[in-house]
Amino acid sequence: MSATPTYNHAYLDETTKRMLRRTILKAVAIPGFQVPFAAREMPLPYGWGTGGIQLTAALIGPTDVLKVIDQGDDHSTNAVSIRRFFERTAAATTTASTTKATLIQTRHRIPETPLTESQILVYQVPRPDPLRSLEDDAEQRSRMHAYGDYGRMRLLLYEQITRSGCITQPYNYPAMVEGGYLMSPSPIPAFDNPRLDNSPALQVFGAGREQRIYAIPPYTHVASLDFIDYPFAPERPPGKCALCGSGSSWLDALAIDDAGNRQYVCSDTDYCQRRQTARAEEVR
Amino acid sequence: MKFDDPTLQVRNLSKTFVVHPQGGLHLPVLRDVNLTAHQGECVALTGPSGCGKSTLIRCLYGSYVCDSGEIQVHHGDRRIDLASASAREILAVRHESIGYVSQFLQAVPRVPTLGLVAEALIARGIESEPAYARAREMLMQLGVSPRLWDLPPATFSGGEQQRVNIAAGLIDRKPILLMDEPTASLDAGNAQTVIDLMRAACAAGSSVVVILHDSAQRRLACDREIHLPACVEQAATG
Amino acid sequence: MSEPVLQLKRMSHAYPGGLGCSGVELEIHPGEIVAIVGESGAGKSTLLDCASGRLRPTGGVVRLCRGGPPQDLYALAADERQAFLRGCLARIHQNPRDGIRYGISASGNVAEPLLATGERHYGAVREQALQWLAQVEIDRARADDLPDHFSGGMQQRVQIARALVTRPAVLLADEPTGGLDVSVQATLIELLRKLVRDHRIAMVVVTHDLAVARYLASRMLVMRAGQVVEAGLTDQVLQDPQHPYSQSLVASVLRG
Repeated sequence: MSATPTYNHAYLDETTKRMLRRTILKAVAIPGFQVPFAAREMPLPYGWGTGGIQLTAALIGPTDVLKVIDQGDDHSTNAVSIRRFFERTAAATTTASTTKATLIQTRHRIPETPLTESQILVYQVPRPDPLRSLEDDAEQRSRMHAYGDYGRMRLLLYEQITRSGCITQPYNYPAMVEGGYLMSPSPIPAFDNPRLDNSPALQVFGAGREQRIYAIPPYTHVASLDFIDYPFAPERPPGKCALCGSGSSWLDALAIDDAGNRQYVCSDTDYCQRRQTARAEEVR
Repeated sequence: MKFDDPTLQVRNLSKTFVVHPQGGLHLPVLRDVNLTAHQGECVALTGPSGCGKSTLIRCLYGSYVCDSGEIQVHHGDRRIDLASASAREILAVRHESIGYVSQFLQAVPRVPTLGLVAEALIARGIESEPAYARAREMLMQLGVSPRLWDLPPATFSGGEQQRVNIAAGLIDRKPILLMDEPTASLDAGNAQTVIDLMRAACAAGSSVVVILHDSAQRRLACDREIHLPACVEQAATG
Repeated sequence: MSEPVLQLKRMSHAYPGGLGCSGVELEIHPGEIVAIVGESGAGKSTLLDCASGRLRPTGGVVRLCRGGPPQDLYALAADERQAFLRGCLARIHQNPRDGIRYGISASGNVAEPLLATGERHYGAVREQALQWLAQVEIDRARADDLPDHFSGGMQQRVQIARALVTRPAVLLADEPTGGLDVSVQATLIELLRKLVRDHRIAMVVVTHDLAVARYLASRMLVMRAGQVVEAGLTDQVLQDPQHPYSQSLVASVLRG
């Protein structure tokens, strides 16, 4: 498919993309630090991934292969429309395959398949500042980041342990980047947090409404907040995938009848599909 | 330091109150007062009412600021002039060298009697167990009923309060002891106990300066009397 | 004599449009309580703000000791100052609302300063928090309750535990008994006295209540219009005030 001629490559003008790339470079240079940027109006509403789309637009080149997932799924409305957006405006080659993609835009998941040095993972982020729920005053929040004053975030975990006997943060689990800044991993399940750590791929995070970009450079140490005696222990998937039999991937619950019965299937559709194919070949 | 050095030596002490809200009214109270007290000596202050006995005691304790003169006291192996000492030095002297039994008990509300009496010892770093044991002894000796020990003294009778006050003031034996009418609201028996305690303090080497109105009590308790004349000067506006 | 842990040297703060405080001299030693009295607007809170690292004085020096030699507080960069003050100086506010978090349990409130200093063992943090709540006489059964259901006196005690849990050398208290019943005030005063003595804390208490100053402090500063007009022993200032303003202050409050 060729690019719609009325638009510049990847929709945004070159000056804007240059601004975005400078912001990304700064974000890479200060891992975990939220760099403000002048977010543009995008042809989709806030909360649908305007931050992620701008990052993708600034990063995507003619040889890139783009994959877009929403909660691990390549086929949801949001993923499909973002993919089509770049097919139209950047003549992008798209794929559902994690291994074939060079650029992956995601909402709420990290792919099950390990990433490589030649890949970039772009996150859509609704609330970039992990301290947002703790402190209303933005100036005070930036002071807390500057002083590494994260006692109140640890206090949240203290309260969870005191009340429930364990840390109960199911997603958007805060993590320290290279011992410096505390970051929001976006609303990925805590299960995905270990994948943030020491990843060979560059990870960039974009929040359109909040106008912030932050990044985790490749091979950066990312540690989920915890206590020595209550180490980080994310919720495990509740069984095996009904389709591919995987016992180690993050599962979605599907209601299969009106009696409330549920089935668990992989949230990463590409991973699940490839396992199903492999299984079928084994059987054959 | 020679043994016969006085523990307390007051030279030419003068004190005038200046009352600013009344246009700087000058009220002279003490004029060139001299006083010495040696180790083991009990000195009584006498004189007509209003002659400044209590004022002198309070000057000696540092509660009142004097205009001129010296108040030399033994403090450890030093001599300190309280008339010119800093607030922190006066506090240090009070901590170790000067005790004061005021006319009326001034206690932090809600603090039980026993804790109040033991306070002076605890403040000096004595463990609470022996401090409380000593407080019980003192209260027993002064005839304060054990059923009152766990109550704050605010609601006690005047005599009871005064005995608690004396117990608190005498529990930690200081080299210099200032007492302002310690027997004023006590019956004869309790007054005798207080006099015995004063004599015991002297026998142990303390110098006592005391205001006692009863001349018989003074004869029993004191080695010497120092007479303060009534201040004859007219109040002058300045 | 021990070294002072907090020193204010000719410390002044002038606000753009008005009076702060000027030429304040204060030295305070471990285990000592100094009261600062005066009417509202006398510069007491400005003094506390400057001494606590929140407001850079426009003149003079603030020095604090944390084990080592005295440190000029405002010679430190903002982040270093913050780190230095943590665990060295604590402040309690008149209104517990300014000093504790209502959405967090009492024990969490006490735990927070420890968590901020990087303590990473939940059990150790919790142990210390509970121990401090016990020291301020809060029942173990209430330790994990939200403090907005506590009485004013209890809230103030939570605030004290929270301030002292990092074992600061200096405690700055702004009207710590303000707004409390008289009997609750008395209990709180006695508690503060005991804690300051047991832990050898140097405490500055700002109050307009001379009775609070009398029961708590051994020394006292009287402030008026940004200046210290009289400084001395508490009993001396109360019984024989020298400055005309101190005299009128004492005369207007202490009758009998």
